Amino acid sequence: MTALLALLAPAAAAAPAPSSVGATALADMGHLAPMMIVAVWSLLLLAADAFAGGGMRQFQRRVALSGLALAGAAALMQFGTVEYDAGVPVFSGMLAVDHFSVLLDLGVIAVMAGVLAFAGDYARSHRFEYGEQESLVLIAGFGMMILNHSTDLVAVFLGIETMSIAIYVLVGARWNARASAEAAFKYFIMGAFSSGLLLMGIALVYGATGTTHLDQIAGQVAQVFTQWGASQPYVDLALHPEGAPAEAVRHAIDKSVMGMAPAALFIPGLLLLLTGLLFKVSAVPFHMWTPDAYDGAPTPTTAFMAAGVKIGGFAALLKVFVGSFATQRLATAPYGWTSVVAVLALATMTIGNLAAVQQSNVKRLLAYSSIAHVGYILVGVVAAANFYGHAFSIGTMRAADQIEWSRETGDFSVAAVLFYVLTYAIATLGAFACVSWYGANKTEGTTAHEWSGLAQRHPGMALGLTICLLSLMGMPPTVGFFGKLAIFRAALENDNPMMRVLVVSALLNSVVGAYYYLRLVVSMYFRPPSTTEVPTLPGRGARVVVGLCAAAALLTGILGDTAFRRAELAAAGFPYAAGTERRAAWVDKLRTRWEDEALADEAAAEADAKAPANGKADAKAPAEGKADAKAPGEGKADAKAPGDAKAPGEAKADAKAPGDAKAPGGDAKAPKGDGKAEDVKRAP
Amino acid sequence: MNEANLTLGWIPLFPLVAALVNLVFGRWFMRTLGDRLGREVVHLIAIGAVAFSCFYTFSIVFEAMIGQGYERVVHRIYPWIVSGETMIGFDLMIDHLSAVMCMVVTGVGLLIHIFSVGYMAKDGSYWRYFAYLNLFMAAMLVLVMGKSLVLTFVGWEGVGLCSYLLIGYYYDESEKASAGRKAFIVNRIGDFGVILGMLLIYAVTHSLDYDAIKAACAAGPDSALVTQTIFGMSIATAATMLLFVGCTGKSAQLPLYTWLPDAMAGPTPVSALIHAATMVTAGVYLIVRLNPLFALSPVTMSTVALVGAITALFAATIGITQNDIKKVLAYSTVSQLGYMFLAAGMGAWVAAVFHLVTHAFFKACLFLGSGAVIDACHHEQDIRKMGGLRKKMPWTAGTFLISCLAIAGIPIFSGFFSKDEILLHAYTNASAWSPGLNYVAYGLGLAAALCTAFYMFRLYFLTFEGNFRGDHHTWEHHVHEQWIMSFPLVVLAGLATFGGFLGVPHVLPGHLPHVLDEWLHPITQLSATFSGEYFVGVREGFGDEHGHVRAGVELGGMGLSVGIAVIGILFARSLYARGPSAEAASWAQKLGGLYRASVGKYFVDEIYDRGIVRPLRFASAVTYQAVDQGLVDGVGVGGVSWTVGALGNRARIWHNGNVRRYLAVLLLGVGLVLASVFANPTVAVVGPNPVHPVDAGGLRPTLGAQPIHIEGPTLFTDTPWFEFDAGPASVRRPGPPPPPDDKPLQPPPRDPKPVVERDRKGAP
Repeated sequence: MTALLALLAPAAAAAPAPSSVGATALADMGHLAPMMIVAVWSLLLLAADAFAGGGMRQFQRRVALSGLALAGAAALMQFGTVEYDAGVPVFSGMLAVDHFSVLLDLGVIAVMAGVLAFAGDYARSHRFEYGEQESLVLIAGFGMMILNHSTDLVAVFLGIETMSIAIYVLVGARWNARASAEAAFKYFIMGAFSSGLLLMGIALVYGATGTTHLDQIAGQVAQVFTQWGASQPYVDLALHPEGAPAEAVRHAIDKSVMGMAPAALFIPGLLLLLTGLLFKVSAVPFHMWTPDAYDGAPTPTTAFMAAGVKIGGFAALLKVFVGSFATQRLATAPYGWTSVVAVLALATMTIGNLAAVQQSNVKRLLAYSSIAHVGYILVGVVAAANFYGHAFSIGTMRAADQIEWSRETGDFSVAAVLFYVLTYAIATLGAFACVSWYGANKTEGTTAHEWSGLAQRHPGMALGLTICLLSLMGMPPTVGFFGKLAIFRAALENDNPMMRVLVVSALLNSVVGAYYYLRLVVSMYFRPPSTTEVPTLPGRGARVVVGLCAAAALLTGILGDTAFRRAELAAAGFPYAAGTERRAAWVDKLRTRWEDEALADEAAAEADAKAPANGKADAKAPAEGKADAKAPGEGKADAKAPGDAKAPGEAKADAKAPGDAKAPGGDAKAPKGDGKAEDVKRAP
Repeated sequence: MNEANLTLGWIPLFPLVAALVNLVFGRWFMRTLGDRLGREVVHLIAIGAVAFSCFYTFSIVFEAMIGQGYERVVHRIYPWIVSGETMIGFDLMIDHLSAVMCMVVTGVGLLIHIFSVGYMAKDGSYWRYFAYLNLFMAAMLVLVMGKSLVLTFVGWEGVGLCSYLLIGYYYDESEKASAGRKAFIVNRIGDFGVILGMLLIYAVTHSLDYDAIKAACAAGPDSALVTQTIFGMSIATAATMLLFVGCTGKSAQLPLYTWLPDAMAGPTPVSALIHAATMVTAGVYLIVRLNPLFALSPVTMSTVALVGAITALFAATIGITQNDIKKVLAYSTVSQLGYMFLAAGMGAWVAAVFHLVTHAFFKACLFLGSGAVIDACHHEQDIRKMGGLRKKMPWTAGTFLISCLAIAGIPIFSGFFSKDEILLHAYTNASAWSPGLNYVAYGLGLAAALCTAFYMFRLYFLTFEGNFRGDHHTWEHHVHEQWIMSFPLVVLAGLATFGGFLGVPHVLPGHLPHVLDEWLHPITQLSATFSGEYFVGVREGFGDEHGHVRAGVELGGMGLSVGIAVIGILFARSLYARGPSAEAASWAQKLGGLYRASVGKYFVDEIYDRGIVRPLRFASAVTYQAVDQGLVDGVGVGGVSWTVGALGNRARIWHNGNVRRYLAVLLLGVGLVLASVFANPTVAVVGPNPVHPVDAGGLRPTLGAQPIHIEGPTLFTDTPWFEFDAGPASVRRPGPPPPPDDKPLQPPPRDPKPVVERDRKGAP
């Protein structure tokens, strides 16, 4: 495995400037190794299914998981390396490989592995087993990964379609249940509709700017509006032609139409793009499909949608809107698109939570809860856009340190969004895995009363689900709390009333959320078991996934800072085009800061250790006095703990972040089929 | 300072560990090893731990402090609370004052542990008893060894907890359980004062370490503690007053003493250890520990003295008429603690500690003696049903008599020396209210001494002399002595007899040194340097050239107090030598209302009940019903949850599964989003935009920076109001160049060249 990767990724990267198209493509594929592995494996599985009989299902699942392990290993080897600090544009700038995309890739791979760990058991148990399942999951994941890497609107559209079409099939895969077909149909109709909107938006933006490349669009936006501004004198003339010669007026009308057309195309295009992407992450009012689709779909698919699609969707949202459309007037409140998103975020979290309160169906409850979480994440998106908008405002300049601060805080906000999305994915995957596990032989325990007293019958699963729910609820020390904390902090750094309103309503909504999450916990722990015992899924896949997700939610929470640093690394220099020096400079800056912090910590620990030693200098002190000398040893041990922050030093010696050292251990387990749901945590 | 650094942590740690072991494994020991062996293991663990602490304490005091001459021993276990500049270490210390306290606590504690083996021999949850007792030892040792007020407070709360646990030890009897609750609640009132006092001190000194507090006091009247004021009084006064509230709670002084008599519900050895010898003296310890601070507040000092003196007499008069053997001793304890506060309030720190020590000896002996009696009489506590026990319990009677003589203040016995010193200083020490306070305090003290002698010997005569007044069966089969209970009594009686030689007055022949005075000199020397109204010491006209009280005054005072004690004893003998006599009844008749008031304990409990407890209960019932149930739960929580529920229902029903509606909503959403354009002036407003401040974007207030126009060529030369761009080309992505001013407008280039520079690391 390692040998293969050594062949693909670093070799390709180290190659000198490509001499031919073929060599370029090969090198680019090397950079995209995780994605390529997923793609190849999906085709392989599809092909294999044509020849394999029903007895091969288990084998197919193993093959799929081993492919994911390979892809995960490749991504782990990429993440945090200096090589990708600046980001590498690939495939003529359609895609880019950077820390941002690799971190999200890891998330997607982990979610795929987690879903595949129990999807087969589920399908078999509910009698709708089909051979394409693994392949479809991988194809959808491939689409998500395209989104993670995309730097072009065409790639965004491709990614969304690849992802969506595979998921339509997955939702409707349960052919023996009417709800499944209905869900797939609804999702497909609405998805097709939103794809149309998205495509329309892309077309309009292209019409206005003449490019679909995100970085070029960002550059062109200025041009579009400069043109618009420059045409204003002609507009004046066209509107008030009194006394002007007819020729001049006609010329003025021409000029004003020519000048204003691009802007008039651009703004609606931007908003249509927004609606298309918000549909994919199911924000209000584009969320109506969510409860039905989540409820009707086979539960592993629901888990995949709730965790994976959100990752891809937010990747696209960040890339397009925060990355490209975050200029001062375009983005920031009170005029730009962030106002729209802020209002929708408010509506999303409120409606999601309120609708969940009265739900007695656990699947629908979690569906609404996922809508509510989208609302929280959108708050972070708005915060990030506001900061970048400030930093990249033109025409005036602020104090340099203020711009610096805005960019830094913008990066922090993006990191908060990444962290939240990934940790939410962990927790929600665990929760849905538990729901999938609870039910077999075509009966599913989805109504709330069937969950009462679960802790007495299945204490382990009840505990796992409880931890996942607490994480979704945002209870320390689970990671959900730190995710919310980061988002709210980012939002409050934005010292503006709109963000304060958003944070306050998000907090109130968290209270409402606590109600329905805890209601489930209470019913599991403090109610007598229901009289009809619900059968549980055979096989250990679901149980392992729940356990790993719960452990990850706890561990990443306890190691919150260490985990958050991965997200910070991924977000460093986010708005700069991939492959520019500027991007690398920001990553370097972050690493230098960590190094300085680690050094300062160490120095402080040493100073602490010394203090008690010379405090009590008493020559006559009898032998027992030596007991005090223990202190320094402990102090050192503490100082070592945040040691993995020392990225730059090591990274320069060898293109590898220190966290990677742990990775092989985790991978070794993966092929055995226990879904590496904790990859996200372990990533860098 | 000459200080040693030894691991003092063991001293409280051993009882703590023993307590945990017994709490966790005690029941298991008793079950698996059988009752007898189990009990052996349990009490050996408990006693062993205390014996170790005792041995360790004594060896530190005698080896390090007396032998090697260290002034104190300190030990930082770990830096406990580190927050900003505040650093509170978990620091233990044995200095001269702590040494006295530790020796008393571990020594008396050890004897009482041994006594408990006999007394609790038939108790069902033996392990629980010893676990609590050990826990108490640990907490008490932390209290007296803490090097900061914070740590002392930890111990303070710890002993409060153990006191509660042990008073309510027989929790199946609701009366005893509620006695425990009462003790805890009354103590909480005082603890609140301690916390506030600590905060006040911290506000000035920024540290609660005793060294820091002492250093802050070193400037005397010029220190910030005196010069800074709050509500018109100095910080020192306010803080010490608040601390004294805590002391009245913990040490059962007026007005918070009511819990102590009820605390007799606990096992008798507990009463001896916690409610006589150690815990209740914590208040005295705290005042002596903070003596420079208290000395800086004459108001508090006078208050302490007056409260102490009044409590001494008040409790003594109640003690006269009580018939429960333990109640008499409880009121006696309150009264004796009053003496200690009287001494502390008069600035006679050494006398206060001295009486604390001797009182620990004789009162522990008395309590244990009463325990032996109660045990022998089949848990009968009414002295009217006893009598003549001396015949069957000679050791108990003898030690009890010695302790009675000690508490009454008969020469040779320890109480004489300590009580006499207190009375003497009450009369001769300077006070801010002088000399009126001296006369009041001395008068009250003498009267209390008379009462003390009387009620103690009433108790002795009714219990041990005359004929047995209980039932015949008990007399025949139960009344006997056990060596394990007599042995501690003998030791304590010995201490009660000879303990007084720690502080022999200078006037007495033989010129023995006043050991305790010399020992505590480092503790008290700072407050002795204050002058003016803060002066602590013998007042003018009563001292000789060495600062000692003049011999004549001292001898006269001694004679007076001894005379009064003898009168009290003889009076008790005449009334009770052969059991309750008719004469005693006629005295009660004659006193009438006074007698009934005393029997009824001055109805303080009833007054508290009517005046405080019931109104409070009524108010809380009202607030519970109206505010909590009605407003908060009903309107607030109920209303909110109802609203959320209703809204949620509406939201749920809204998603009704109808795909047409879904699409309609989606379309509506798209429409709304697109309509937002019209709220966006960049597009909707045709014509020159009003210039708006860039900061309308609502970012953090700028650092006072004014918008500055970029030097050099900009994108918008002809439209100065326009500030729309993605950033200067140098900052962001390269875009196509801006159109020159004079050229006609061109649509943007349709075929973008791949202008994005690829800057691949490692590429040449």
